[in-house]
Amino acid sequence: MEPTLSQVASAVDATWVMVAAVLVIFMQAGFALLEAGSTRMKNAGHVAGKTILTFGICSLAFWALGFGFTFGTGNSFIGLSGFFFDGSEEQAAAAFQSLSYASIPAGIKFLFQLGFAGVSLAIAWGGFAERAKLSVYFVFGVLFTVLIYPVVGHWVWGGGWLGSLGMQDFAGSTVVHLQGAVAALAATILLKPRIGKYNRDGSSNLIPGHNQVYTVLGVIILWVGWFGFNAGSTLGSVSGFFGYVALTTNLAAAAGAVAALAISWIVMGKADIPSMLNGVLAALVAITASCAFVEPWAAVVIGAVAGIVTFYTAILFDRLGIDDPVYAFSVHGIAGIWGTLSTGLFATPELVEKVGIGAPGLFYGGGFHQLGVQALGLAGALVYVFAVSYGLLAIMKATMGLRVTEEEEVVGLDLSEHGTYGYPELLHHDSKVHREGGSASAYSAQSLT
Amino acid sequence: MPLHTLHNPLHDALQRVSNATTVGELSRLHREAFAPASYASSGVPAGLTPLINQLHDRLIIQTIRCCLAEMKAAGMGDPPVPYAFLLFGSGGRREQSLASDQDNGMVYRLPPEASQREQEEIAAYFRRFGQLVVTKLSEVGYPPCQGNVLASNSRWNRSLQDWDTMFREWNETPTWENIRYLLVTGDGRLLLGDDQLFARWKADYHQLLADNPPLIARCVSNTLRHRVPLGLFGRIITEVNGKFRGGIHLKNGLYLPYVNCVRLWSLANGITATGTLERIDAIRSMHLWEEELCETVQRHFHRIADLRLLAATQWQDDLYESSSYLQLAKLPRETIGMVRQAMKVALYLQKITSRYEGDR
Repeated sequence: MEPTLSQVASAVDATWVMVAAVLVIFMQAGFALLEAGSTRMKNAGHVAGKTILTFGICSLAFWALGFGFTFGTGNSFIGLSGFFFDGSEEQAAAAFQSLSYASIPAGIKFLFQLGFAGVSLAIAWGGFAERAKLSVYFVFGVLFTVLIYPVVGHWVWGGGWLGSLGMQDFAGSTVVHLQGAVAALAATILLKPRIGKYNRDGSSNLIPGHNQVYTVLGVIILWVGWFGFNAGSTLGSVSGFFGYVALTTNLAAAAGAVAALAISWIVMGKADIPSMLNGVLAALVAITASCAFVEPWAAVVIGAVAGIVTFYTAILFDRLGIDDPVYAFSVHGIAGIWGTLSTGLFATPELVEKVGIGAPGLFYGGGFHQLGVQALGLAGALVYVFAVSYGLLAIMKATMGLRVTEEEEVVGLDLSEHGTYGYPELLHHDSKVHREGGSASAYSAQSLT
Repeated sequence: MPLHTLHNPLHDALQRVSNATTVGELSRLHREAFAPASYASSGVPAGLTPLINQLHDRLIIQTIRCCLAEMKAAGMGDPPVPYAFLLFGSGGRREQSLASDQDNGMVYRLPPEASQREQEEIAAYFRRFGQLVVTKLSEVGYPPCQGNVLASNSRWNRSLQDWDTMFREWNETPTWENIRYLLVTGDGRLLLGDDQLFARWKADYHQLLADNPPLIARCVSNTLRHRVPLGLFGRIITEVNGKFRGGIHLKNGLYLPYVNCVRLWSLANGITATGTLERIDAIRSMHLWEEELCETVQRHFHRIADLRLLAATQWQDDLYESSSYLQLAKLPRETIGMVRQAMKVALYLQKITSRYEGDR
């Protein structure tokens, strides 16, 4: 039988969303490189490797419970159907009314949404970097995927109260990024700063990452992955709207890169590469909520502001004594807040009508209504995620402990948690120099001449 | 606290230093006179740099005398030939701060009739002497120069003939490193030893520069390598992270740009003085710069010298590294304004100095 035109259209939509899902899942590679490059050599294998472990944990937990809590039909607080998803269209039709607007196979819908939950969890791990025990990744990985992410996800996307109010969060500045970032903040507060980060007088030391090239590569992968993240959130391609979303996404990222590098140059006198990379990610996070609602010029403004604000907040949190090793809260939290608010400012009437969510923003005659809805959604998400994350982590801290011992932290998590170095030759050579006593100083003296 | 009481630790030490016969005594004198804590409560009075340098000179001379005695006691005898002990860096310019590292070297005269073996024995004596001085100066309180400009390094401790050979090599192969050596040598000053030998060494150096004008152009990029931390709209760029947050690297960001520019103009025009202020006097008398510029640069340089002493007392950790940083937040508004003006002048000096680069 010849396929009908609508079947072909549906297949094209499905193919695009499948590609988008793969792009979003590939963002795990970006996070692995970004986080490993931004931390020290002795922790590199652990930091990168746990990305795979936790995506595995997330996949199982999201399949069993998380997907149902997020998108299942339930009340305005949480979904209550569709657990242990069997991949069938029948179960999807019965349990996932909130996703019924897209005419693509249920398995692809699941995979795409799993990618988002995985990204949110990967962001949260930023706050744990270089000092959390491996067991914490197992336990908190499950708890986050089942009890934290689905709740706010349901509120906004799963038929919950924020969605009913018309909150605009197209691809998840709040749902994905802010949630991950707030969990990271709670973790970094409870874990306390890394050894050597702060001096007795309260001043902080820069702990540079061991491989800036990894970090750059990670950011490039994330930038490309974001086309799946944002443009894929159209959940279809036949209308062609995904091209527009990709356009605003790219413009914001570009503006974030340029603005962040420029501000670091002006303030520090040195054009700082890590600051530029943070600026790119912050811009992408910010445009995630608004990519479908704003004009290209506004995307440039949103990206540039995100890049600049994040530069300052990264310094601010550092000074407040919060050791956030990969700047997760600045990049995903502060920029998530800004991005979520930005659509309340810049959303145009035409695009709002096209997407069919909420109202135009303040600068387009919409008054303060949409801005108010956005702010309310943010407040709700912040309070819920922080309270639950902090509570769960505090219980874990009291029962199983969160942090490795001082000795384990000094020797590095590669060795203490996995028994082998990520860079065996290099670090073994180094430790040999130290063991032989005296030759370490000879080595450094030699390097000066 | 009145000025005269603050000078006392320095005056006391100056008087006592000649009687000190052991490195232990010299070390104690160094500690008492230069400990930042002695100046913390009341600040450092203006214009103290000459007195401080007088004391540094005497401490180093006395340390060398101790080393000569030790060499003799070890059966090495007196120096076999005339020699000159040289100071480079801030010591060579008489611009050492409270905390200072050692940059030094030696030149000695080989007798023309000396056999190969005699020459080797003489070199061995000075090699051992140089190593001893560097070790003892470290004990007194002068950490060795990180760039290894030290009398224990054969590059900086050799016969006059070998120095001349090295000068020629620097000219023939003006790599970045050789140009650094050339500029370091430009601040060389006689601390102790044979002044005729030193005069010859110095004349050879200046003759090299006079005979090879392109060398000066090669020195420009090294001279301008320190960036003045003045940003857009006259904002002073301070450290963002770490222990020195809110501070500026006074040495690299302000002091050395002045020193380096003035040195290049001096070397390019045959000026043999090594102190920055004396060099500017010579620049003035040769009418190389406008009178007003000379006056402005000298005025700022005096203030910078005082700020360097202040910087050394701000951190209270007795680390040499800390003495290079100036914490701006603790300074009055006028002083910060002065720093900003001084930075503008530094940028101007760098601009006029870049002319020497020519059309490379």
